[in-house]
Amino acid sequence: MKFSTLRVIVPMLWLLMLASCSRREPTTWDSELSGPIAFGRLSLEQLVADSLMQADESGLWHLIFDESLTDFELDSIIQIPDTTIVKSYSLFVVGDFAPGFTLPIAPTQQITIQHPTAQLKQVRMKSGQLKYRLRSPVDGNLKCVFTIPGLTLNDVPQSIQIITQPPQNGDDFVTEGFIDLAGLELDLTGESGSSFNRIAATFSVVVDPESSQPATISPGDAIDFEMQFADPRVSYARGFFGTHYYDLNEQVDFSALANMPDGVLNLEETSMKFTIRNAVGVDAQIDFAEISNYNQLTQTSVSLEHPTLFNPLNITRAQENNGAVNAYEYDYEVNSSNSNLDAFFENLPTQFQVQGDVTINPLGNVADGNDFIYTDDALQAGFKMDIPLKLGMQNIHLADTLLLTNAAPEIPLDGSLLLWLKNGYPVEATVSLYIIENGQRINLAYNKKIEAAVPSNIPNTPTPSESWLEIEANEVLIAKLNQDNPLLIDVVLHTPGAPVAVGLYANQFIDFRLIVDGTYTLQYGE
Amino acid sequence: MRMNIALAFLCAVSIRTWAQVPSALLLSTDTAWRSKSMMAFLGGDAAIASNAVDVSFLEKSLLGGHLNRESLEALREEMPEYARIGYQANAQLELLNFRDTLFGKPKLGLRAAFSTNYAGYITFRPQAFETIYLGNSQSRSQSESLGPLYFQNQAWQKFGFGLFDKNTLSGVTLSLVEGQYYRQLQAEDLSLYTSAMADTLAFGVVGSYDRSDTTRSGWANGSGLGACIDFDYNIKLDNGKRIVSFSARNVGFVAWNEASEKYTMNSSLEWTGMDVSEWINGAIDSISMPEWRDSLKTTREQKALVKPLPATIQVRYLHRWKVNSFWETGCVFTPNRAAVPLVYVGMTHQIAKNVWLSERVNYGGYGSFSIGAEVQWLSAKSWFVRAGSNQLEGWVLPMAGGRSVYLNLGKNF
Repeated sequence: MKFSTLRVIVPMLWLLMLASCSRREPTTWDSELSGPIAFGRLSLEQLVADSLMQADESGLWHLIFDESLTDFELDSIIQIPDTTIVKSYSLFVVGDFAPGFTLPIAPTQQITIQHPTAQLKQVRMKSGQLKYRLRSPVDGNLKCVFTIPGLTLNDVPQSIQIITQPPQNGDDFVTEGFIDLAGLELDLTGESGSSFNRIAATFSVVVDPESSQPATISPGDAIDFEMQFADPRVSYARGFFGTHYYDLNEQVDFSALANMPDGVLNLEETSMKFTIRNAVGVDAQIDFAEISNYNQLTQTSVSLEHPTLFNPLNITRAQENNGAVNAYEYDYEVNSSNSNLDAFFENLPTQFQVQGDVTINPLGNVADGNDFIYTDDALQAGFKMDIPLKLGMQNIHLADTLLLTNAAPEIPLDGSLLLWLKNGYPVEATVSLYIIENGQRINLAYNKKIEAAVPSNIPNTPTPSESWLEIEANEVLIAKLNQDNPLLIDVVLHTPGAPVAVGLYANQFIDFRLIVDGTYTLQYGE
Repeated sequence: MRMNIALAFLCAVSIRTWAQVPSALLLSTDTAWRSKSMMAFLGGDAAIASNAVDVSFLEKSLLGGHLNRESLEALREEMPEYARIGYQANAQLELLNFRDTLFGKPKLGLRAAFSTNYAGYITFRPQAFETIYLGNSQSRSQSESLGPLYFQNQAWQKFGFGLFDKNTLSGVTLSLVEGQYYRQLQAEDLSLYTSAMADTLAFGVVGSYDRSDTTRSGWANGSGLGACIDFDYNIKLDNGKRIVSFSARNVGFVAWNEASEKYTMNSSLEWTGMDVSEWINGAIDSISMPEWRDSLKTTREQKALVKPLPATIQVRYLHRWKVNSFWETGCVFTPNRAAVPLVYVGMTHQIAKNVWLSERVNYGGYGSFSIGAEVQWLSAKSWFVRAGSNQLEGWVLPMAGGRSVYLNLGKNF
């Protein structure tokens, strides 16, 4: 063997060995795996919003809807409109006046608030500003004081004091400012103390005693003072608020709160309480014209029937005692014995509609101008529905879609998912699972039955039943579960013995476990 | 030639199954090659063997491919109670200086060597193989005892200098060892329970896991430093008609640095799935799988570790029974948890003036029976070539229990 031959063969052998030792692809194998994926416990309070479920002393679940029909915004009827007052005070003297000299102007005046309906005597301001602007042509320093005795903060009258300056470069002296009205009391009885919508004020002008120079007043000089109530908001008011009419047309949509099913439902012992609370010192009258519901799925509507609810309801005014308000509350019980409430709810409504009208001070000024209102606690109407979950269900159908993942999962599985359920509810279910792809249903599990719990000797505690649901799962199907293809869960509920009602109790729930069982392709070395 | 050496150096990922002085060098009566001033050896060995899995499995496990279920079931069916897989790989450059008298003794020569070495093994129970490769579906209501399971894998580089007897090639080499990486799992107790419904899996482990500094990689990276001795003691009897040889490789240790870690595990995990109750009721937006390492109760220590190198000790006996033939037998001990002593017997024939052909039957090590063969060519002028395999059937039979190759090239200067 020649050296040159070795020079070729040896490197080739080494390269051959190296090439043969490099990984070409992942190592894979199919392993038959069984194991748990997930578990959990389902109860009604998990499926329905917590705020809607309440258990009574026996543990029976009640579905509670507590809805406000309306908050009548009565504060709008007593709001002070934006008001601008412009006063020009003529100075009736001419010449030079020494510091401390009081100029002879009309000292008192009355500002009128133009309110279209309300006759206000007293208000407490929540917010807003009292803006002012003063113009003086006088060559000297004047001390101008504008006082509103009825505008007080902690019983201290508020005033505006301005020291004017001589005109400069031919321009009159002008100054502006504002008083923050938040928290201030305003007496609107005027100078007489018995009027309404009137604000008493005084204005005085003195040559500034602190000035070293006299003030020179020329013929025709006048001091202009402008005030503006800017965006005033009232937190309390007293007076006569006028007579007002409101339409009541409220709609409550439940579809976002609960996924209302379709099917035949038999309810027992449902009740509904209408509550009207009047914390305003005005009389009111509410007249419900119609209370109805609507099932969006079946497009059926049921109107509530009740012997007295649809008569005009007179609401007595609240009483005020040293700032404490005694509100009047009115409750109207509506139940299955005095109305068609069971049928009303068995319509499985998705919407409620209330129509009627409300009159404020229907008898006029019967309180001699002593209506009052605290605007943060006014007139409210609402209702509270109580549906004890004693029900008989015949083919109650629930369907919901679930987006499991955004990206198509790549799970190399060929087998099935086994769903074990231990059902503590006396309700049986038939479950189907589909993947929705391009509007078409791809069947994962069809009409799988979940057995109902069976009655036991212990009251309200049926013996749970176990069921197994086998769901086909393979790589192709799993990959379809992406952003565009949600999982559709279709459930049909049925109570054995329906329409006889059975109760759903807080001690009942469904335990479940999800188990994978199949051939899984494992790999490493990618 | 420089290119050849460079290529060989780079490509050498091979195994010194039981590196010893080549028999051709011991038995050759031609002393011309010793008359040169220096001899350089470049070589590498690679071998992997198992008593439980076949070459097809090993090849797909290491190089990729699909392990079909029928083959896995067949392997499980035939698997011994204590299964083992082991490998060794080595590439070495060695210089033997014949020229000068050393320490006033003309018989002594100087030896210098550099090598990169890899060795590892795993020993496991068939139940572990079955659970991993075939799954746990058939094990419902059972607690499978998967242990004990031992795994070790390490790599190191050696820079050695030593002395040798020019006549017998006996010698000692002391090497500085640079540890590249070290991993060791010792699971004394390992179990997996699958409940009847498969709604509960319980995994138990008692053992430890050691690993060297994971922030470093590559040759001589500073993860560990150590020393080792290699020696050969060749006794020529009856004027060289018989030779008894003792040798040892990698008798030493590596002190792995302070960034090494030791995990002690005595834990059991029970997996019943993710609790999705809160996800269903909307209390949380998403759920994710828990990190199993968080649940596995381990004690972690970061500290320096001193670990022995995977040494081998060999005894062999060569007997020339004809002018051009001799037979050989020997035993190789690899003291670790997986390997059993390897015994072999073989024949070597001088088929031409400088060419020897050998055949050999082996049993033990990481595998079971195997057949080896090699060819050696020692030219009088300057070259020595040795190529062979200790498990020849692994190159042609997929059901063989391993595969081996070695190639050495020597050059006199």
